[in-house]
Amino acid sequence: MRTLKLALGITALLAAQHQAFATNWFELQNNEQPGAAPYTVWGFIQPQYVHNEGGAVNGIAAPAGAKAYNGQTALFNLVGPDVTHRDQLQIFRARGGVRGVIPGTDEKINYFVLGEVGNNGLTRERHAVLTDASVTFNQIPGARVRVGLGRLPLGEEAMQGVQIMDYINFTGVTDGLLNERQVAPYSTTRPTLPTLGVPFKISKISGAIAGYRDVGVEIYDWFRKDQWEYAYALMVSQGNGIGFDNTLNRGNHDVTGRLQASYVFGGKGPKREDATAYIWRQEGDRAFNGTDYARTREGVGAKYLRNGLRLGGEYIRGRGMIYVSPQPQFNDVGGSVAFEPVNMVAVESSNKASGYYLDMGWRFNQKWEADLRYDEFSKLTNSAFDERKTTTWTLGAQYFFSPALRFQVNYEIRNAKVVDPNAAGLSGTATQQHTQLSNNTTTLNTMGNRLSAQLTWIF
Amino acid sequence: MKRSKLVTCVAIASCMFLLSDASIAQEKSQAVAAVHAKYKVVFQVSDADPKKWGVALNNIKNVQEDLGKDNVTVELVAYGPGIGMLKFDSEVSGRIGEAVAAGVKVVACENTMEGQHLTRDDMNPATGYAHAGVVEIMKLQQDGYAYIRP
Repeated sequence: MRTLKLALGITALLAAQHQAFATNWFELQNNEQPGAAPYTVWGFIQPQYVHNEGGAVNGIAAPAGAKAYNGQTALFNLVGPDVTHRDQLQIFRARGGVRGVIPGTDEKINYFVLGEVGNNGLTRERHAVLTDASVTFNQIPGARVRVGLGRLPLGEEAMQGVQIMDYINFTGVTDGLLNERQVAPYSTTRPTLPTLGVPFKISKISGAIAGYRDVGVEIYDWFRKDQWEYAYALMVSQGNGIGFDNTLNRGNHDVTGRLQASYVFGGKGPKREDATAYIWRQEGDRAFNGTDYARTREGVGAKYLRNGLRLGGEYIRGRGMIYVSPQPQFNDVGGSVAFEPVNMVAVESSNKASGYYLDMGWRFNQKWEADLRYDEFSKLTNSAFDERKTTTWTLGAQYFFSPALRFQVNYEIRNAKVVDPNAAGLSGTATQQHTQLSNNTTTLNTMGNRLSAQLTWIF
Repeated sequence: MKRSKLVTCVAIASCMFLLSDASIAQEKSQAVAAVHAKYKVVFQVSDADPKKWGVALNNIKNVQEDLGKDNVTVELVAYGPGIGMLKFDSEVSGRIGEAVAAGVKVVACENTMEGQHLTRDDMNPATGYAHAGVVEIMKLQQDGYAYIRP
């Protein structure tokens, strides 16, 4: 009993330290508190259960390569990253690391290292990866410098730590536009679904999902005047996600910047009570099959948190290197007739996608919080034939056992559609175009609602 | 005074030399471009073997890489048993799209299509059409195209 009390005491102390780390994401993730230890070991575990209600696809009449997928369940109705079951219990995230100030530097230099051994997009090729490995230099007034692997100064969802996220899943627009899939050209000797609209490039996802991170140099700082706080960040990075080298994609690079202003009501930590407005932009190139393509992402948003009430919203749009989807959107059934599922990418900068989310939460007592979010994501808005829109209502509840232990449940009401089922394509015959849109509609109509439950333990 | 005249003469001579050097380089570049513009090649695909389709597409890619995409005009003509290469769901459907995007003209023989009861709905959307594949090849050869049958 005494040991248990001691353990709980240490957990609460560490949790309190994390709460008090900082008052903005830059400070929270890149800096240490005054008097911080040379090293603090910390981490979190997120066991997760997901149930998808969507069923199998039926009714694809032609061509034979697509028809072969009748009876299969679309990937969006399967639990990632394995996409083999509609229901799955897994350790989704398990991260551990160390952070602190480097002794003998007068607390001017600190570091942050975090690894991931959970089962998610970051570990799709390796069982363990480093998600963060950076050193921050705080010698220059007004310009702190972080060097290494770390978060990009992007949108709000992309910046916040997943251990304190109010929802289990990211919105479609944040995941689709900012959580970059690194792709490599792919050639096959099996049939693939011909594109009839924008000429997509055939690719395969290569390496880890970027997880909103990159290797580079970030200059940032924040300034406080009375109750106002202003912050900026500018990061130059290699555009390769959590991969350490760029031998595969030598043309990749990014410049990302974010500005934000907050009116602070009070409190501190990630749940500081404030009203914040922000704007950000990312511009860079991606190398694909010997050509460099421009890639732009930008967004604007605001959030408000006071007296347990949270309101937030963000608009995000992107041009170039739009990851479309696997096509067909199924696991490969093999054989010489079925189309081989390949990852389609719209590489040219004329290709656009955009979306937004609105979010509200109410912590109506110390233990419980109710959450509600609506998000929309439209891909290929530049092509009526290719445009697809997904919308999601997320109903959520959180139960806080303690500052370090939290249970969440989310129910997502999901819809996806072909925006214009009668649109004309850019190539092929009218019959081919109609068949492809009809098949897409048949597939998207099987998208089901999703129930997720997750426990987060911060240690 | 004499020295200043000498300097002026040397300067003028240098400029003339540089100008002539530049114009020679320009002429060379134009000549090379003119020679390159003459590269034209037609690939015949008349076998039902998907391996040969792959070889044809590899050959085309190599030709474009070696000579430069802008310096060579490439056409692929499929007829007879080779028409399967250009069907909507052929094994190389994705590569056909890539080849067309890279500037290759891909042509299906309509006589063959008629014989095999194929319509344009059955064909790869990137495909172009010729009434008779063999006649298309004949015309291209008469027009100076090199002929390759992998």
